[in-house]
Amino acid sequence: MANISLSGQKKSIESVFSWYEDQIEAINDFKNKVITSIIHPRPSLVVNKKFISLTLTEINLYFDNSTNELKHLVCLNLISATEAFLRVDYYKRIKKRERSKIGRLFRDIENNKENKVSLEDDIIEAWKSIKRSNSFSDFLGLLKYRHWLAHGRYWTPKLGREYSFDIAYEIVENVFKAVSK
Amino acid sequence: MKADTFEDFLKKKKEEEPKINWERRQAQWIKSVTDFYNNVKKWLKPFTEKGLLVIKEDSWVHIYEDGFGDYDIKKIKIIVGKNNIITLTPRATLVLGGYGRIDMKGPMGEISIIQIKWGKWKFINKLTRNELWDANEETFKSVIQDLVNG
Repeated sequence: MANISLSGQKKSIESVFSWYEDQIEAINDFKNKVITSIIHPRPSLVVNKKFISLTLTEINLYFDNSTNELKHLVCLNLISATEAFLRVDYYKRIKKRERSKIGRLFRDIENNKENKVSLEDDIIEAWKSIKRSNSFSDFLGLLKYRHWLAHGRYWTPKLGREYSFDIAYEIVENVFKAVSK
Repeated sequence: MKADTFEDFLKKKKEEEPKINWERRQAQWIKSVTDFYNNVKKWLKPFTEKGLLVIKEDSWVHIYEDGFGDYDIKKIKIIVGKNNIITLTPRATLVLGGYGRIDMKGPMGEISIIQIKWGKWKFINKLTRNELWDANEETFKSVIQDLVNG
């Protein structure tokens, strides 16, 4: 087995979701502060100079963009957390020499690939072969979105669907459930 | 009894909000834009009289702002030479840090003018939003040159 030292720092999707909610609330509070300083200006309300001269419409657009950016980054975090979950699960099953069907498939992969185990081609394909749900196919689609985010979004992605935060969360939650069953 | 208490709560909340006379604010904004245009016409009068530039006041911009709803406000064009058109377009009175903004666009660029106090206008660097300078006869003529020549 590849000699990997697990950090113990992997994130749960629940903690990512909770952090996302905090950031949405913070953005909304910030937006309300900026809008209040337009409609009811008072000296005690100090706002960043970059907003000076912006109209309400422009400020709404600015914060809509901030929220969309946050959603992209949180989706990236969700997908990364799921990758970590799947890889740690893989290593644990190998280490335990688990006798289940997935354990045997993982051992075959490990014997053939050692430290070149691919998340998409090996781990997820193994899960897909033994689970009937679409969870893993959906997650493979989501990984294309992750690839686009992680490599700088410089091309127009052909994702086949639009990934909102809610959709991404549902997909990764289904993967967690399918693996944990 | 409970309903009265709730009504009192709502009334108190309503009283807490600063009262804005939207009609007055809108009228003040439209007048301030007209006053600014009059200043522009005064600053450029020596050149319009010599036929070196033309000011046209024949178009309007439609604006929607929360509180006011829809309204129309005049925009002006300054024509330098044959094809160099500089447009002054009011954007809104509800802007951060002031009482309104006019955008000034020419063939080589764009700049904003913010009304920081009623009747007191300043140019603002759209990129940094930190740099503000008075909009007066000298700076206005300089900005026209920048917007035409780049």
